[in-house]
Amino acid sequence: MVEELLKKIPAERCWDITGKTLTNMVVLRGDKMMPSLLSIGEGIIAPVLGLEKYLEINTKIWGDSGKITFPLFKDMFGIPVEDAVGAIKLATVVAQLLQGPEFESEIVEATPERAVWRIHKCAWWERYKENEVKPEFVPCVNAHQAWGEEGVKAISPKLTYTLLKAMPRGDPYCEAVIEFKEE
Amino acid sequence: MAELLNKIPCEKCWELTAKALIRLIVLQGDKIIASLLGRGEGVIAPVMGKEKWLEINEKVFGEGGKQLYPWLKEAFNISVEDATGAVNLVIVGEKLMGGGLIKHKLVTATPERAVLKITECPWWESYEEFEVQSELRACDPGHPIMIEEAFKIINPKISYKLTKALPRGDPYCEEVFEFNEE
Repeated sequence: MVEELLKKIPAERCWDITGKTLTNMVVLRGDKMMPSLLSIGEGIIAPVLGLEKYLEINTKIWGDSGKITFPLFKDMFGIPVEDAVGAIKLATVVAQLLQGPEFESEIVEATPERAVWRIHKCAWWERYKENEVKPEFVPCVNAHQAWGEEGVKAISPKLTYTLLKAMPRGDPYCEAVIEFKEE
Repeated sequence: MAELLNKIPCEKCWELTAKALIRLIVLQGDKIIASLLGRGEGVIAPVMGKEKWLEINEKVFGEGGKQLYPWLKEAFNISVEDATGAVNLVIVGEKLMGGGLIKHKLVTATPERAVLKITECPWWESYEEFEVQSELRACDPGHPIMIEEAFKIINPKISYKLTKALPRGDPYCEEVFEFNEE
C-alpha cells in the first residue's frame, strides 16, 4: 500500500515538502535554539560565545556552502560561467536546489559585465517569519552575502557578488549584483 | 535559466535539496555545538553542557514530529488504525525527511506488530562525513522521540521503539511498532 502511495506523490510535491521541512529544521535548531542557549545563564555564556561569535561561525558555514555548491552544480549540470550572465544563472540554479520549489527570483539585468538578481520569495525568510526568530538572530543577510561572494569567487576571481537589498532589512525583496571585471 | 531548471528531473532536485540541507543541519547544529562546547569548556559545560544541548535537541525533534506526522497523515489520507498503518506513515515521513535517500526494508507488518529496517540514511552519512562526536549525534534519541511524540497525538495505542541504531554500532536501524488495544 505504502509503495503505491509513495509512487503517487509527484516528485515536485516531495521536493517541496522536503525543502520546507528541512529548512524549518535548520531555522529551528540553528537560529531559534541558539538564542535560547545564549540566554541560559547569559552572564556567563554570552561573554564566551556571544552573538557575534555565533554570527561569525554561521557566516563561515554559509560561505563554505557557496564555495562547495557553486562549482559542484556548475560541473554537474555543465553550466558555462564566462561572465556575469553565466554566474547569475548558476546562482539561480544553486539557490533553487538549496531551497526547493518555493524559491522565486528573477534576473532583472544581464550583461556580460553586470547582472542583477531579485529574490521575491525565499524559503529561509519564510521560515524565519514563521518561527518568529528575533531579528538580531536572523543571520541570513550576512550568510547570503558570504554564500554568494565565496560561491562566485570559487568559479572565477574576476567575479564579485554584492547583496544590495534584503527582506530582513525591510526591503520588499532581496537584490544582488554580480559583476565581472576582466582585470 | 528556467529552461535549465525545467530540464533537471524533479527526482534529482529532490535528492540534491535533501542532501544539501541535511549536510547544513549537521554542520550548523551538531558540528558547531560540538566546537562551542569544546571552547572554554570549563566555563560553558557547567552552565549549558552536553546534557542541556541534548535535552533541547530532543525537544526540537519532538516538536518536529508533532507537526510533521499529523500533517502527513491528513495530507495523504493515511489510515493509522494499527501497527501496519503506523509503519506506513513512518515510511512516508522518513522518505520525505531524507529526500528519498533513506532505504527501508519492511520485515514484518501485521495489525499488532510491524518491524522496519533502515539500511541507508543520509543523516547518518553526514554525521560520518563530518566526524561529529558520537555522543553529539542528535539522531539517537532525536529520531525516536520525533516518532513517539507524533503517535501520542495520532494514535496513543501505538507504541514505538528504536531497537537498533547505526549510531549505537548496529549494522542498521530497526524500528518496532506495536498496537495495544489496552
